[in-house]
Amino acid sequence: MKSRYEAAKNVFIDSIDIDDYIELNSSVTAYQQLQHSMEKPLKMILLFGRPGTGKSILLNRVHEKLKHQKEIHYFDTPAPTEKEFFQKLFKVLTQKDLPKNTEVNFSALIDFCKNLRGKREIIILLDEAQMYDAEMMEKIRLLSDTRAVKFVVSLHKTEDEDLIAKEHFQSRIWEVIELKNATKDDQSSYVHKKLLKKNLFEIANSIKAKDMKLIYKFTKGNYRECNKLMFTIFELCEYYDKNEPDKINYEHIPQKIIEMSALKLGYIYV
Amino acid sequence: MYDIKPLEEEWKKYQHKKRKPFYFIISLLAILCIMVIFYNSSNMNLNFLHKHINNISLGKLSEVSNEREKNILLNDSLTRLEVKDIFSNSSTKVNLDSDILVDIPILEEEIKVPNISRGKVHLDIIETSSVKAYEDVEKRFLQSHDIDDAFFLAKSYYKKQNYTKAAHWALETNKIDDNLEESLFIFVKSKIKLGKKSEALSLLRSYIKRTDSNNAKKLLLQYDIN
Repeated sequence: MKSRYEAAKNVFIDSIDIDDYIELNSSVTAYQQLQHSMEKPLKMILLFGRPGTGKSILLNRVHEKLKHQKEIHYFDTPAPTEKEFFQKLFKVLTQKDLPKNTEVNFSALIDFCKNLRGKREIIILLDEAQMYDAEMMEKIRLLSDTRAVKFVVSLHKTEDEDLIAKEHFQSRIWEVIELKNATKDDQSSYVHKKLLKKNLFEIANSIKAKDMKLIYKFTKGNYRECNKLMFTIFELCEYYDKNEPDKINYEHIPQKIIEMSALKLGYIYV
Repeated sequence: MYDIKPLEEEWKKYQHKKRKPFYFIISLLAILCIMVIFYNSSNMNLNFLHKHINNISLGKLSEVSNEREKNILLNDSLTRLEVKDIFSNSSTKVNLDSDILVDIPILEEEIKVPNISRGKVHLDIIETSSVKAYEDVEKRFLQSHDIDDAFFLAKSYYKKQNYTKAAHWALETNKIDDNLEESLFIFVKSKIKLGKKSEALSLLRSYIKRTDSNNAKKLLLQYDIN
């Protein structure tokens, strides 16, 4: 027999699927801020925040929303080599595949971009930009200097925030948008809206304010951590529902299950 | 699906850990409560002890000494009696409030208790020191036959070196209680002072034969040596 919690569990599989995008006060603000920045004559925009603050899904959202209005391209994961990155870029810029056994001549690419200035305005959304090395970032900067290509660079904010201090990002970045963890209310809305989006009204209703407080305490408002925790909670609920139904309460999620999930994910220790 | 049992066990341990501070606070409160109770009961015991001391010093001296001083030599007991008399006198001559017991709040209350409840006149006698007061006690004894009165007179007359009367009242005391050793010793000592040593020692020997009292033996030995 299929458990009611199975569908709820699957709602929280971590993905950047645009269908999973939840409009929250904070995410709407970030979206508007990014859209506004892209309309300015800026060469590079930095989108940064700790992992799980919604950078990738925001870029995805921007891409989905604007792809029919602007020439906007989303590079989700960095290419493993410089050669592959420029092959991909060549295709975006020339709208042609690079001929086999050939390589992109970077100087020629710069010249090509200079010729595009005023004719086309191309926006490249670069996710996980912390994975590009310094040489690559320098070439990206040179491309942005042509003013034909605008880059939105997304990167992780690390503990010591050294990346933001790196040379490339110190002098080249024109605008910075920082994404932060959700507030308690935003996270609560996030969880409920995600469940309601899949018509799981009863389960959404079974997560009370007290439960959300505990979930927020463990995840500190981080969306990725929240997804992980909610997935584990519903996974445990599914187990009890199938194997020991006397231990599950359909009216509300037992605190025991939330704490067990937190233990499993290492938020708390014995 | 992973094994749920180890996770449940881990959660139980976590619960235990989470409640540790709570248990600690409860234990701390319990210890504090016990300490407060213990402290209060100690104070009560101290008050009781102070009451007891007051009772002894202010009137029940003779009753308490009956039991406590059976094992003491005559000289010792007399010395003690004298000390007690001095204490009694001083407690009447000087203002009680300035005495060492002045800091015990129940003192005044305790002073009144023996006078009212027992109806004794000992304190009156000590306070007045008058011959008439002794006579009053003697008269009262004829009616009441109270051993405390008789024993008091024996001690008092011995102290005043009126050995004839001391011997008389010691005898009266022992008529009521022939086991009151201290009274017997006053009788023996008074008789010796009156020059009737053989009669006194004879009585002492018969008492030793009857009771095998160590104190009496020591007293006899002391007089035999002398």
